[in-house]
Amino acid sequence: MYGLPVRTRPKAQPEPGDDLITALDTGNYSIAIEILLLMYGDDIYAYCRRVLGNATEAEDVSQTVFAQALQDLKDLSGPHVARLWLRGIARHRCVDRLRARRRDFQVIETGDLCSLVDHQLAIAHSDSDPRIAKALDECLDCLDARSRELLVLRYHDELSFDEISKLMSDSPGALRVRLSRALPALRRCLEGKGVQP
Amino acid sequence: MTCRRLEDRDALAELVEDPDRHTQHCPDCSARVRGYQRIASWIAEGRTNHRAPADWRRRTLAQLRAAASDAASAPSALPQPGPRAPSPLAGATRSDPTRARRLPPSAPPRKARLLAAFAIASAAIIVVTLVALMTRGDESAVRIAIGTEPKRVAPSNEPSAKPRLAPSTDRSQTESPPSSPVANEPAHPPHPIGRAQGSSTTDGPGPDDSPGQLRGARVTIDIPSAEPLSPVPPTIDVSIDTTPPGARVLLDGVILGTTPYRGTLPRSGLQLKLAIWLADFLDEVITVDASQSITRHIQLVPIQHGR
Repeated sequence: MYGLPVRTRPKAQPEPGDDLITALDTGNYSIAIEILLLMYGDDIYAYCRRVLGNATEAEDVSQTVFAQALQDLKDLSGPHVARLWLRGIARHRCVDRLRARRRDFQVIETGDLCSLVDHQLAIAHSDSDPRIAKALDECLDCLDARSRELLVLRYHDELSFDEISKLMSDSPGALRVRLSRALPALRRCLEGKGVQP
Repeated sequence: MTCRRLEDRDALAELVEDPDRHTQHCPDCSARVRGYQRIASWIAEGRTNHRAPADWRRRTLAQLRAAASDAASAPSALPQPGPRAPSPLAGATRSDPTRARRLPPSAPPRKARLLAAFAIASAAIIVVTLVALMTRGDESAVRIAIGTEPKRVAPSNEPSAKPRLAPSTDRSQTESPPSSPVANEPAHPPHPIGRAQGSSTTDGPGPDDSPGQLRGARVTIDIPSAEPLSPVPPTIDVSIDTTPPGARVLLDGVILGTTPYRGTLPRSGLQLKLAIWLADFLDEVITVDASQSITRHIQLVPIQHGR
């Protein structure tokens, strides 16, 4: 198990308010889920969008996440872990969707999508530049679904290769090789958009 | 870039997280490893410009409220406060992610299903019993079953009456004089029930009638057809059209199809809420009775963008 020296600062997350705590304590789950949707809806959608690389599917899956959360609110151990709990549901639903998608036809090659993207964006090299996020979004979308899923699970969710292996049904060694090949592809795409990491 | 050792060994994933000695001292490799680490940090920070569409939250909220109201009508479907009990979807996120699909939120509550099954079974038993009695021609039993004891059965006047299946017995011969209406009837007379449609007429109640009934009054009994009852189909047909077409038809968040939608749903006595969704149009939610076929045409209203 290797450490992750890449994390520079903890992710900011809104603190659950008294309304959520009260709703959960009193068992008013319909109110609680609405509060959770308002607090973490965009976050869950963005996560699904990043993993799935498709806005329509991200909408469907993120809705499913909250529908399942409503069913399982009883399993929520506390309001302070609600975000991670929702993220866990979202992760599993995204993995399910990607697994189902692999059984479907691939209409458009991902390489063709990459060629459609403008490679001539002049992006400054500051870490705070919002265009980095745009380039990262586009380049992650250009990767194949499994590589994108692996990058997010490894670096965003900070799962170990063993944990990812159980989710993606690949051996940890195969996952390391896949990640080793996805990183240069992602870097090349970013550099093609003018982002020098 | 002159040194390609970093990318050529398929070990980049490990070297990015734990650089070896060469990577630390090689100028090319160390610079590129720092670049990869920055990429990983961007992913870790969740840098994204992806934002949920403007109406996504509203649609999700509507879906959740519909699910919550449905669950409120069926208490077992919504988690209740108190000691933990195994939820129907518990563990779906950890051990078996597909369990959520096996138990869609659109499934009717268990209690309602049991009640519906009991009602159907009771109705079936009653129908079978009546048909059996009619077939046997057991007039007294039929009289008891339908709650009337005919005193004299008049021959049917309808020319379209079906021919009798049993050996013909002239009802006029079996008619008893008014003074003794029942005594002269055969032991098992052929009964019009089960052989012909129409109505029989009796001249007043029998001797065991309740005191409240008028003696000598003319009572007309509608005799149901003896044709076998067609079984109630277990499903209902659903036909939904929209203008414009192509809208999604959802039942409790589960996509049934797109309009023009033709499908079937299980027959039940429940009220179903079907959501009609099409991008750039206002959502429509229709409540339908699942006990009969549904045919709807819906005019979708476009969303007015801008203020």
